[in-house]
Amino acid sequence: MSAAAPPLVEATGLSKIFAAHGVFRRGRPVQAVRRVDVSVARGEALGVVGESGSGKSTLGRLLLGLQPATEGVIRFDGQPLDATMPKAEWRRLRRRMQIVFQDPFGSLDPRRRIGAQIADGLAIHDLVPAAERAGRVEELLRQVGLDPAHAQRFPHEFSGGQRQRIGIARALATEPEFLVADEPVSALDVSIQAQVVALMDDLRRRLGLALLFISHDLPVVRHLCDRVVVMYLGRIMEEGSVETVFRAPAHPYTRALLSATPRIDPTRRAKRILLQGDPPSPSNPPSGCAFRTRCAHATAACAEVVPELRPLGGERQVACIRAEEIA
Amino acid sequence: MRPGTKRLWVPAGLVALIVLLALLAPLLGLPDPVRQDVAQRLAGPMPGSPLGRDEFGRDVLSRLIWGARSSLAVAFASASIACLFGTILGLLGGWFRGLGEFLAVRSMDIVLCFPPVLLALLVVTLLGPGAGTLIMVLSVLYLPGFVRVTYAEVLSARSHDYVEAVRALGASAGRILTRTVLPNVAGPILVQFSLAVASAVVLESGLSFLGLGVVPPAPSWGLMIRGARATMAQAPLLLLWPCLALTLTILAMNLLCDALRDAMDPRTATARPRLRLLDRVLPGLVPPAPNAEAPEAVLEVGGLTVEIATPRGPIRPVEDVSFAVHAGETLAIVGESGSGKSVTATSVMGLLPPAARPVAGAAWLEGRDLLRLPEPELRRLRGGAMAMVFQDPMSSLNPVHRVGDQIAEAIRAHRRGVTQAQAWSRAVDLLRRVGIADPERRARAYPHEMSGGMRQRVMIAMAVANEPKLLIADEPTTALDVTVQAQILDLLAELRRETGMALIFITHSLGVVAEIADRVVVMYAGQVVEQGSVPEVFGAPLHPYTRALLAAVPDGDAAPAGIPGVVPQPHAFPVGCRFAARCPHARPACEAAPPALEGAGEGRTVRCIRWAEIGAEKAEAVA
Repeated sequence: MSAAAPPLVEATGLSKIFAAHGVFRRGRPVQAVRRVDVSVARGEALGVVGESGSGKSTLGRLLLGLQPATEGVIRFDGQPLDATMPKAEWRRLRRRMQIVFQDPFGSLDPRRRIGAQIADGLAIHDLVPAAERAGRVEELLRQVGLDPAHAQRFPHEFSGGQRQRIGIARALATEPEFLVADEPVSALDVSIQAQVVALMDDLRRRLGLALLFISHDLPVVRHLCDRVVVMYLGRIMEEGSVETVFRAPAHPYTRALLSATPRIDPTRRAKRILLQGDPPSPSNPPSGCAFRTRCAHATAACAEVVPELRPLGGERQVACIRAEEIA
Repeated sequence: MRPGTKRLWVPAGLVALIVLLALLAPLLGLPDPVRQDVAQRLAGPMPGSPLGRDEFGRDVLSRLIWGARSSLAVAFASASIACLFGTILGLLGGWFRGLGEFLAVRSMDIVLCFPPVLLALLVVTLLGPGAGTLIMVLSVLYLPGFVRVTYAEVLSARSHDYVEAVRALGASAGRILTRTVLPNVAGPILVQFSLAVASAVVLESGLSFLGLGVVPPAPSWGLMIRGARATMAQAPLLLLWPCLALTLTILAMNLLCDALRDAMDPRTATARPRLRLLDRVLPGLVPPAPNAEAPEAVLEVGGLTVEIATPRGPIRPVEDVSFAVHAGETLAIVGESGSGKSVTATSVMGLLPPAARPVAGAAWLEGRDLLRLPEPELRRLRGGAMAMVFQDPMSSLNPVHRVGDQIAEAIRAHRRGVTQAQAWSRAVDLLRRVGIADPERRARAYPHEMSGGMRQRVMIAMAVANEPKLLIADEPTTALDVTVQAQILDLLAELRRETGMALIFITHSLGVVAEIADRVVVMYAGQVVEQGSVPEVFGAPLHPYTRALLAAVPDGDAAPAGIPGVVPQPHAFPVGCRFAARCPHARPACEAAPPALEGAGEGRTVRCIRWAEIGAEKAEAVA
């Protein structure tokens, strides 16, 4: 990753606050993403890891413009994404960025044949003349390792792993440059998971895709991605190359997360850092450092100011005021 | 053809017959329905008039068929108009929200405020009776139903990922609404249509009966009932015919729409298995197997086979499964979805769904065979000597009771003479024991006020409330975050050490097995393929499936390797080894006959005819 090349997708100061619902707006607003800076270069795979409520899925949808950001700027290939952009402009950009969902059952329309669903993108953007669409669909199915003859089948006739391949084929139909994969293998069995991860790895290298891979499964991110962002309660805790972050995590939360991941090989098992309690609610985050309520190293200073993401040697950034002390 | 379409024939034929009769009325050579013949007044069945004559001597059969024309025309026209406009309004309101939503939905609420018959009466009185007025009134009356149904369906459909996916493809709102949302909300709209047509037929008859609908002498079912009422004493049959026609039409309409909805949904291709009464009354079990030589085992399962009756014939999701678990031991049952691990656990607990039943084998707990115990005795054991923790704590806890009450209830169900106060204080102790801070206050909380990890702790507290000998945990951490999963695994291990209970841990995660279990049973396609102590099985797997499964987990530096192919469906289990089709070591012999579970050293079994051979090959390759 040369620092010189401008990133394909770049977000600065990105925030998303979901307003409370109801007539009286009694609930507190949920701060899903808070002042996040993130960028993905062409051909780069960026992993986003975190637990439920960390805002990682919201971040993916914000970058695609599927949800409007409350604050901050997103640039795609240098062009700012803006809700007031003309519709035609939006459609042109939509073609260049796609999404793959987690749930292989909910992400396909149960009432339409899969061939028609894959062809949707071709038809919407008029990429391929109608007569040649069937051929292109077959080609896409073959690309994701499915039998092209199955284009006339309905989603319920496929297994979970096959449906996920169909979802990938649908996303690839518009020949995107940027792909957001939102927990694409979390609902799959391990033996199938490895197949789909291998497929995504192969496709992104062959097609030169920029990939934002959202997952709570750290080992998968380690194998698939170049860089990783660790999120907690809507904020980035640590960011860096997969090598550095996984070998020597600098943030106490990254360490806890890594040590909590069950390992098969007993010699690799790290000393378990057992976090106390549950993550706080994103509607009522703690003051200062979001992680301080569960952190073994927290001091009074941690409650006072929100730690900025700061460089910590090499290509790594960390949001912890005590990173050097506790290393 | 799909089974759904078969159900369509009878109601479709019936409706087609009624509609055809009405349409073809002029061609049937019927007597003129309005020609009076006072001489034949109230005559019974006679040649040329099989159903007799009415109070003006008009032919009843002819009036019935001609009456269907006006009744059905009014009903279909008004329901169609309401359906068209209602669906459009509902789609727009549900999709665009904001002002459109307000106008579409709130204006309908105003229409709903008027009692329907009163509104109809008012309009008809103002505009004068007649079919045109009726159609207009009925369309307005049925409009809110369609708007509300469509609106609600659109709201739920737009939260689905597949709608989001089409949005991400850059589709315009019109395309999304017509291609994606409309087909998925069509089912409930069709049902609403059937209800509207049926009720319009009734309302049309009612208004005609009151003299506010179809104008005499034109035939209509309502008018016929009105006429027959006056002469009810002399000719009661006259009342019967129009009523019969009404009932039949409405019934046929409703049946047709139900069948249509099922047939249009590609997902209902497989009908639900029907429960055979015989299976419930006489579970076809073989005589109990003798208790094997391991008397100290808390639970011993031998040769367990479960059969489920499906439309495609019986399937066996679990076949010949044997294992034992001892006091203070953790046994993990690991396998992918469809391996039969959960079915194994639920059959031990006696919680199989009605369509499934154990057909062979035994499960011994404290000298009793759980598979043959009558339900009342099983109930005493469940939550007593054996307890279970499920994957989803939210759906396993009762949302309307405080968690403390639920735990106290579990205690009192198994111990007579325990007062509510004693049970409550024990519940608080248990909550403290499972690591819930401030248990006195938390015991008063409702399940929805707790986080997922905390709810799972409550479930565990409830399960261990009566000091069970055996605890079965079915994927208890799958729905939890890793940091919370680590807490729950620690808690279970600690409880097991303290109480000496046997723990069966069902999971798909090999990492979790390695962390928590002493011994492991690896299942594939309903069978045990390998069994042994965790360090041995994970350190030196004997079965090719176990080896492939371990290689598929991303752990360490090697890239995870997927297993080609998919798990075979229970309908199509191969005769020979069930893993052969995906196995790199498969030989023709593997597919010829089912492999037996062989002993392979101390406490170790494997179901592979080539395990020794493969092991030797591997050793050679290393050397």
